Amino acid sequence: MADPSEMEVANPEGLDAIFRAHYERIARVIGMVIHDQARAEELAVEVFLKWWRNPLAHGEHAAGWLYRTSVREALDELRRQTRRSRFERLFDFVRESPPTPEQLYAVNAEQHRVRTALGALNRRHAELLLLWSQGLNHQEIAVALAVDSNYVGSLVSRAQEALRKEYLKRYGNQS
Amino acid sequence: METNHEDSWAASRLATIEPQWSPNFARGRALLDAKLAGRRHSWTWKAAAAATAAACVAVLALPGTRALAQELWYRFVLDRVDVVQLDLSKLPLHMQVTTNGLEQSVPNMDEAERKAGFRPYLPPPGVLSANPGITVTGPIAVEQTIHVRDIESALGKVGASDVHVPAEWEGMQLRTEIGSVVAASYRDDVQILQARPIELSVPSGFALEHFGELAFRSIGVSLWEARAMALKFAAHPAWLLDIPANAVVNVQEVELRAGPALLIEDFAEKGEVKRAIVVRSTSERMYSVSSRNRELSIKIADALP
Repeated sequence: MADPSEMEVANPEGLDAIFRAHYERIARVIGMVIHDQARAEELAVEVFLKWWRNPLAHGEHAAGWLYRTSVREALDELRRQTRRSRFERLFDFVRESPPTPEQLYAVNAEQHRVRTALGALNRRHAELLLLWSQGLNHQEIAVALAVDSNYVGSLVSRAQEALRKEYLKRYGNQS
Repeated sequence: METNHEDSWAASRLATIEPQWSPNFARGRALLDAKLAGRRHSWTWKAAAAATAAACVAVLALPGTRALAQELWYRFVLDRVDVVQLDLSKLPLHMQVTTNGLEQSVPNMDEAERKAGFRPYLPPPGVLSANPGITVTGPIAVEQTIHVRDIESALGKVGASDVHVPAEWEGMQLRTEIGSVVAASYRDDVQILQARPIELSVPSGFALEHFGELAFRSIGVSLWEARAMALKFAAHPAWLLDIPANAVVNVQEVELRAGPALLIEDFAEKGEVKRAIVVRSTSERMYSVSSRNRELSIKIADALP
């Protein structure tokens, strides 16, 4: 069976195949940045629609295009949310078992801090970290972000360092 | 996840923002289907909504003397674009849309020309940085059938009780044909759509101006405004684009080297431009150029013949 990312995709069947293959992972990538599940899923759907409309994104690098676009969409949305001071959404946390108020506060506060630090990084660093944290290997990251795979390791290291510096600058050593 | 010396600290931080929920595939699929359906419905620039509007314009556009010609159908080509803030999909006409197929990717311009039946225009090298992806959508035909009772009912709902709908209009058909549409898609959401001009056919001997006035009134336009619109179109027929009355858009005429065109800017929630579309129709071609930047859309449109 052909890889969905390599199928002829300018038709609903192609869109359906690639949506089935990648939707959940794309939604989770966005969900790291956008806490609101409903909004994250909406953005994921928008990513697939953009992909469908853009024939240049079709073909063997379709998955990479989807990941790159999804992290960019997520980061753009995070910055919009930051500008609008809508962080109250971050406290609508849904869990399978109800946490204690202290746990809820600690988790949400830390999430808030990490997202804020992530949102303050330059776009490339944030993209690298999000894809790396999703378990993409160096080759996959290289394809997604159109960088040389030989440099991905050092780029990720720099991004991690940047995150650490940004976090410590804002919050000190609180964790 | 491949490792390095900052691994554990960064990994532990990023782990805190891992979603605690599982994506709902069924909801995502439903959202996608809804968006696709919405896109098809709002395909103002390339499909049925434009055709609906255009059919109405065609009816309005034909002077009564022409309608007296001894032809069963009168065919008409629109060579101008106009915009109204109305929902023309609410016209009380029974509409049937037929098309020969879906959008298809093509590898090059020669193949696009072969499928579409015309050579698409692209801006010269230097205007846009990369080669576009090209797709071709098959021709679309729209037939709108008049049912007198439907028009009377729509007029009654908007309080237009002073008009009479001729019984002989029952069953008359208006036919709109949109030829193949070629779409050139570039990076950064830039797209150029083009097609042959819309052709419209209406039965001869039909009271066109009267029908146009009633059609506009049936969707809530006041008597005098509907009459003025009918007169305007009769004087200078146009391909009519409908934009919802509550849409936040800016519409203005822009002068390109090749002639006048319409710039339509659609704004996002915070006032930034979401889409800037330049639409132009000539006797030989109609096209729309869209991007997220008005200057870019105008620059591209200006580079087209």
